[in-house]
Amino acid sequence: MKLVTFRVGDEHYALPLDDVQSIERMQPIRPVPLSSRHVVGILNLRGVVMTVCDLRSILSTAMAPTGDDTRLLVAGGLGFIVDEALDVIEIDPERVEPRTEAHALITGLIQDGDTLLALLNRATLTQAPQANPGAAV
Amino acid sequence: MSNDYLSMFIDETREHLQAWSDGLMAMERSGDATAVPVLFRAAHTIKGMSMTMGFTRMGEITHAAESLLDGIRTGSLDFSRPLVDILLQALDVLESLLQSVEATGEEAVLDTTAIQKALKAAASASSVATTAATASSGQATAVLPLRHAEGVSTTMDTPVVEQDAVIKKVALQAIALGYNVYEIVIGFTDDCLMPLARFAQWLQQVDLNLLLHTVPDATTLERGDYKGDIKVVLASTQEFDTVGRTLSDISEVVIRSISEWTTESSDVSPRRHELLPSDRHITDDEHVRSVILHALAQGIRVYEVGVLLAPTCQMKAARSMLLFDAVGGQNRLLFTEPHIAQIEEETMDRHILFVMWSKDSLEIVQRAIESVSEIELVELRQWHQEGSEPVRGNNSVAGPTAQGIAPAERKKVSTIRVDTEKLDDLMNLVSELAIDKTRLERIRGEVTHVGLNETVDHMSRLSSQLQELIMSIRMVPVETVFHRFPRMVRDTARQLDKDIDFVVTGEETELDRTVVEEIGDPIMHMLRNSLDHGVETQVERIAQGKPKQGRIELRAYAAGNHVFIEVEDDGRGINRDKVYRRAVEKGLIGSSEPLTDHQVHQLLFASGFSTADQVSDLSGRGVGLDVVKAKIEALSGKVDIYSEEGKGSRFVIRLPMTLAIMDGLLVRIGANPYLMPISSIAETGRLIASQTVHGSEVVIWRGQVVPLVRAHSVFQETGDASASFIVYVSRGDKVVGIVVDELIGQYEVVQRNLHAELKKIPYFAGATILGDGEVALIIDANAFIE
Repeated sequence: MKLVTFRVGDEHYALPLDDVQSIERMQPIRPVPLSSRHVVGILNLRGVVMTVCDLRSILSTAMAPTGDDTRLLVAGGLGFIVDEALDVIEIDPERVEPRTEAHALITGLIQDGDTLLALLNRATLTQAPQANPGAAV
Repeated sequence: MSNDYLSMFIDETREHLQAWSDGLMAMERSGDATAVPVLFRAAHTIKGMSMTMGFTRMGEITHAAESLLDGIRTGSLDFSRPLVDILLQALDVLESLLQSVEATGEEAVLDTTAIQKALKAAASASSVATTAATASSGQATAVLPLRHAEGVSTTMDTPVVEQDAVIKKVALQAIALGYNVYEIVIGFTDDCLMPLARFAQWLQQVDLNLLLHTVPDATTLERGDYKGDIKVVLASTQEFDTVGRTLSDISEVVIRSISEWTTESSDVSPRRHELLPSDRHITDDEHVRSVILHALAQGIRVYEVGVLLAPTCQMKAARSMLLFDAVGGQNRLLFTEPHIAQIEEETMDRHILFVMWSKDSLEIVQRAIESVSEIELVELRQWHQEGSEPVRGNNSVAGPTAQGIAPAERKKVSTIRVDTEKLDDLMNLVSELAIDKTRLERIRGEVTHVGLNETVDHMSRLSSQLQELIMSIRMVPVETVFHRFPRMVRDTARQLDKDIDFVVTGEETELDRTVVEEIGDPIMHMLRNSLDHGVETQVERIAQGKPKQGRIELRAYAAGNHVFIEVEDDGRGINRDKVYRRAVEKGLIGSSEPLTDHQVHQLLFASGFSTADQVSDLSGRGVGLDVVKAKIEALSGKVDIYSEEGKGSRFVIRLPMTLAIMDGLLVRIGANPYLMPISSIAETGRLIASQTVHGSEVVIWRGQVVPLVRAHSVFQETGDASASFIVYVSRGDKVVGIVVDELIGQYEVVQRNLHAELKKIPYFAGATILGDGEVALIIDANAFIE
């Protein structure tokens, strides 16, 4: 299966290629007052108003300042801020070590050379904004 | 069979089936057979088309239905409720067959012999007499709860009807239960060819369980050749005026007499209270009668008029005054009911009855009244002198006609089928074009080029027109989703044994097609709610002094940038205590929380809530009001409920009218731009100084004390808080001043939906992309007002 890999903080993550709509450069994001904690705001992506969430916040990683490498991963109609987009790799599904506990966002682990990849669950990912009620009424 | 023909067949047949359904509903309500030709044509056309396409089952059913309808049309068959049921069943079978054709191109292999037999049996049933017989045979054993009655002696002044002991007993019981018992003698005009048909027509509107006695008896009426007067004794909850009016509205029927049976309080004997129809005044006022006589004696005409104000009439007093003006002025009025003072104060219902004098002919008066809008002329009689008494004439207004079902008059619009995905793509492209247009408009200010201005102007106009056109293509009248409700309500009401008057208004109101598609289920749910839990049973209603017939209204109307859909019933309303207790049980609220009635009503929308005593099949199983609310909110709408215990409930759904183009005021709050819909803005002004009253900041605006809301702090903005301007927003009587930091300008923008997660925030109705590509949130002013 083909995976899109990316970096959030010091960790590497992956999503199935089919689940990723596009990877974009960062743009100024309009904040939405009173939105939940993981929601950063909205932006204009080629004529579409898209809601942007911060994967770093969702994965409880320390927030690094936006740099040249920061990217937007578009999946499930939402944009997710990641620290760096890496490669698209092809791996044998057998190599995925399933994960079912704690962090429901991660469905499996893959050893790719000397890096450990955490495979994310797109469905749970797109529910992430709701996970934290935050200030939204 | 080519696909094109098949599609056409499906579309047209569906249209005709709809006309069929509408026609039956209308006929059932009006009780007459005026819409039969329409039904006949519908059946006939479907038959022809089905046969050509080779759909034999559909063809056979419609053929049988056609014979049945033909029978009614030519008068050899009488229109009755069982016939409506059979025709509706046939309709259902045809609909399933049509669906199978649509899905597979073929008719489903259904056994249709049952429905065909039923249709044929109904078609060949011998005429009128059967219906009349069924009617009168129900009376000898009147279905009223039997209570042991004392033996009574009767004292009649002039016994016209032989007092059968059984009838007396039953009548007494009826009176004890609160019914009125009437003895009515009806005759028929000389030119009436089918008196028993007319009799049967009247019986449609009478609850046969309450028919106590007829003379002649059932056997004689069954013979079908009886042409004389008929005496009827029946129980009714209606006033004698209403009963008489119902009778007099049937053509060719003449009321010989109506008497009411009453009991003396101390003596149990029934006593006759004679009320002759010619004495039925809308007033007993001797003075009015003498004035009428006086006028008549001078050769001045006197008319008695009855009108109904349209349900949508907002200003009843004004409309009434216009009506009186139309007939010559208030000085023409000899009598009004309700009283003129009541009309002026609008403490009135929709009925107005009045007696007036005029020198004009009846036709002229009729035309004058009919020219007043929002008014329906129901009764118009001329008074004349007979001997030394004034006497009323007959009603010159034709009886109630069938509700509008006119597929024959339906405009023939040429249409094509379009893939909705293509429509959506088209709309997206047009929206992007609009953005570029705005950009161009800005750029041309900076560039000097011959011809650029003109070209950009032209392009702007084209783009705007394109947008409007696309929007209008997407707009669809709610009728497309409303049309299935009358049938559903009727069937459900029958199932529940409730008598419901279902009124639909505003079906022509338009909504975006995607919204219309989705709003059907929530509305259906609300209707079922009213039917099942709202409107009480007939017995309960009578016990409460309510009319036996419950009323459910479905109305749609546009206001400002929104479309409102309301479902209102006059049922039992929300039991506040029950809901409160249930909510405490479910842990939704603390047991000692003080809540207003309205807040308690909102609890119904909470997840997992249900107060249904039994989980009925109709509503309450699985789908709660919380799902309904979620669905409506997913459409960027809002739903609310208003209720008064004992009086009824009203659901109000508010939906955005279109998905796009709105006029907005761009403001800056803190570091960000926000758009406020012009439709909610009353005015803007500068913030000079404010006052604090009871801890709240207010300012005086147009003589009103208006509370201020500092958007900067509500939004927890950072950045400049110059707070220089106030935007006054209003809804109804409420006004709030929203403090913003800068007014940027007025813009026409395309409104976009927000992600579900953001929709939850009440302050924002959507977002938009500005001309320079920046996004801005669109503020929902209502969130500040509430």
